Amino acid sequence: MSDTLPGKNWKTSRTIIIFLLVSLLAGIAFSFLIPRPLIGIIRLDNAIYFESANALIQQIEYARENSRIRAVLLVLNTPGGTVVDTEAVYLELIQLQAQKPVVAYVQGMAASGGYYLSAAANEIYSGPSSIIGNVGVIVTLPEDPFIVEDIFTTGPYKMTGAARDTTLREIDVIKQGFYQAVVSGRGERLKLDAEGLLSGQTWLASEALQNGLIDGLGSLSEALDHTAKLARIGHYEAVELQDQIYYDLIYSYGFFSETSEGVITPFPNKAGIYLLYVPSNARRLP
Amino acid sequence: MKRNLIYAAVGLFLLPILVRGLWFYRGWYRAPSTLSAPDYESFRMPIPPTNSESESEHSEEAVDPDGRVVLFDYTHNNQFNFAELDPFLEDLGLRGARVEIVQESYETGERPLDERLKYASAYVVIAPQTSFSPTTVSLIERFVDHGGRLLVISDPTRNLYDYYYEYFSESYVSEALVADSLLAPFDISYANDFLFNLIENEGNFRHVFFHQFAEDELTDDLSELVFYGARSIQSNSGIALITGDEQTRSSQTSADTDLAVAVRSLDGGVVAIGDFSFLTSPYNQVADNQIFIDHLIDFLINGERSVDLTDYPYVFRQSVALLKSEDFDLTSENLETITSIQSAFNARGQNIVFTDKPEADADLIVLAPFDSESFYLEALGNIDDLVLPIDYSASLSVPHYGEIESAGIGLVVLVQGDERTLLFLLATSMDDVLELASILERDEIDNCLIWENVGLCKAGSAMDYDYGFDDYDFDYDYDFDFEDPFLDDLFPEDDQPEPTPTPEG
Repeated sequence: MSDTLPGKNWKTSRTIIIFLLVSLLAGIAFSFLIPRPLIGIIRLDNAIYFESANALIQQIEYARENSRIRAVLLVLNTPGGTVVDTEAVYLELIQLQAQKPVVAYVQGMAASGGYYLSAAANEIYSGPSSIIGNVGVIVTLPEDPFIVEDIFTTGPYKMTGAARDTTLREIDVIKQGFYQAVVSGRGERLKLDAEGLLSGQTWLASEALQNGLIDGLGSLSEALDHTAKLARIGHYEAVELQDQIYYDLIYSYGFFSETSEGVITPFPNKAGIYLLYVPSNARRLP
Repeated sequence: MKRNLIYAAVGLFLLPILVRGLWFYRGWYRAPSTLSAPDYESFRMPIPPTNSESESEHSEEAVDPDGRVVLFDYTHNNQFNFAELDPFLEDLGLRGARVEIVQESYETGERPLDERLKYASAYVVIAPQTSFSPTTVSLIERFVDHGGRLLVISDPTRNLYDYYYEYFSESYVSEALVADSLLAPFDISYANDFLFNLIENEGNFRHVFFHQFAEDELTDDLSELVFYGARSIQSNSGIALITGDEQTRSSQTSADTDLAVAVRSLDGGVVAIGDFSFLTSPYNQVADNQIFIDHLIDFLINGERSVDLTDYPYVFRQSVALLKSEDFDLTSENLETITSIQSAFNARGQNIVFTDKPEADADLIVLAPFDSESFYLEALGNIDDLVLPIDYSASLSVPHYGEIESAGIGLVVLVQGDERTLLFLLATSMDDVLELASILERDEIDNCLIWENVGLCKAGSAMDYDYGFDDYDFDYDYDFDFEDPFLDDLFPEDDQPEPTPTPEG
């Protein structure tokens, strides 16, 4: 018969409980080292041009480098913009998407270059009446080559950049890039053929859904939930990435031209090649 | 026991970590394998098709000595400048055609359109912006009826945008609608659209290839055309010369239709084209565009233009001889009329000589009284229903008008033979013939009554006849059988005013 003293048993039990409790508390304490996942929200409520593109790229880089940010929701309301800036942002998004899911949410308009950007997203969602599409390129042709008496150049196109016909053919190359980006991004979900897609048409989001240009209609919070699902996270926190970066506005000029009365027009303020949607009735300003 | 305790402690340590981890993270993101950026390096600029015209058999045809005149309309705010048309105008010149630009005559003092259409072989209208008046349309319709050729070119890039007509508003005028006002009599109309092909195009969706051609002289040897901004054309009765393929669409409708961009009217005299750019450099050198341009030049200069009396003075095909017949005595009084006729002809660039021995191949103007025995009047024998009066009192029988009193009437007859054209100016006396000639010299033939190649003009007066007695010998008799058709119309017989009483009562 082994006699165990009740006091000793209690002491032993107490030691075990404390030990286990300490382990649990240590576990709880350590668990707090696991950060709450973040979904970074990148907003574009402007044309895509030098300034807005740089801000976007900085936010994308921040999202890529910050491990807490598990996914990015790109909230778009843009008619597009310059070719080079659109392509630059698009390529950054493609890199980001290789690491983290990117979802686009159209809150108003993702036309032309705006849709180019959303083609880099895993999925695209939209408010029901947003404007989507306008796949294509727009250019103001340069002047015909000319010579003047008091300006000498070393080549015929030094002053105009290119022959009008060459410029016209160049935009076809840009169009091919745009088209490939959409085809690659949407894959088998795209129900439009090349003719339909390249018609340059804009669609209401509900039509765009039928055509496979987007994946669903809904609210911004639903889009966040979809983003979280893609990132396989729960109980996330959404953060505005534009608040996380310091952006030094070196230049500050607008993209759109203004009239002398200060009315902002839908036209860019200088000639060039654009991935831009300009409404056909744009000249009929109120 | 100790081992179990350690396991339990580790378990309890990990549990909250696991719970929190799973609370937030349910798996790992797997990037889609299919997504990749476009292969930008592989994209190439489209290259325009080269000019497929082989040995340029069309553009090097012999120069046409006739020097057909092609009129270019520039009176309807036409949206082009002639520098753009240089290659086309040069080709026309090489083929012997003479180009005339029709501008507002009140601005330039040049001949008005109605006069120019009398001698032109073709009329070209490009991108008009102001409407054609009904009078002009009638003139051109008549021109086409007489074998003249009409080429109308509309182009969707030539619409007039008047941006700041009102502040920040846009005034838009489609030249298609304007051109339609001219083409309506020929059952041709433009659509206010543009054509495009998103699948197969020449560098841009609106640069459309055309491979479907109707059988026609205008489409011979064509295998591919490229129009750089074209609009479609409709015609119920005309021939659709060039139509787009299945993927060529109209901006107005996406329905699959064989959209025509060039149409020829049923009678062949009118061609409407929905593009202007193919005539201009460098687009004229693309694909078979130059061959089509050569065919168009053939169309413009090879029409069988018929001429009738209403085309006077442009009814002659060669130098003209004003015949001095035995009925005609050149005097100081009638010399002025002859020299005026000569001056008028010279001003138009026509050669004319006054002679009694015309060259065999010269066209003739024959001045003669009705009762002349001139050899040349035998040519009038071939005209049915034409009977000249044998004396002053006899009536004249004229085709379409029947018998009419010859007094005070000048007869103009145009006879077009195989070798020469004869224009007869006939009246009761040589004085009246000269008066008739002065009407023609003043280009007032429109004041005459014309039926085909026979014209009736007022020449002289019925009261001027020399009946061989003086007025004072004449005892006026109001029953005198004198009929003046103008007076008769104004005062029917019952309403004839009472004659003014003479002193003799």
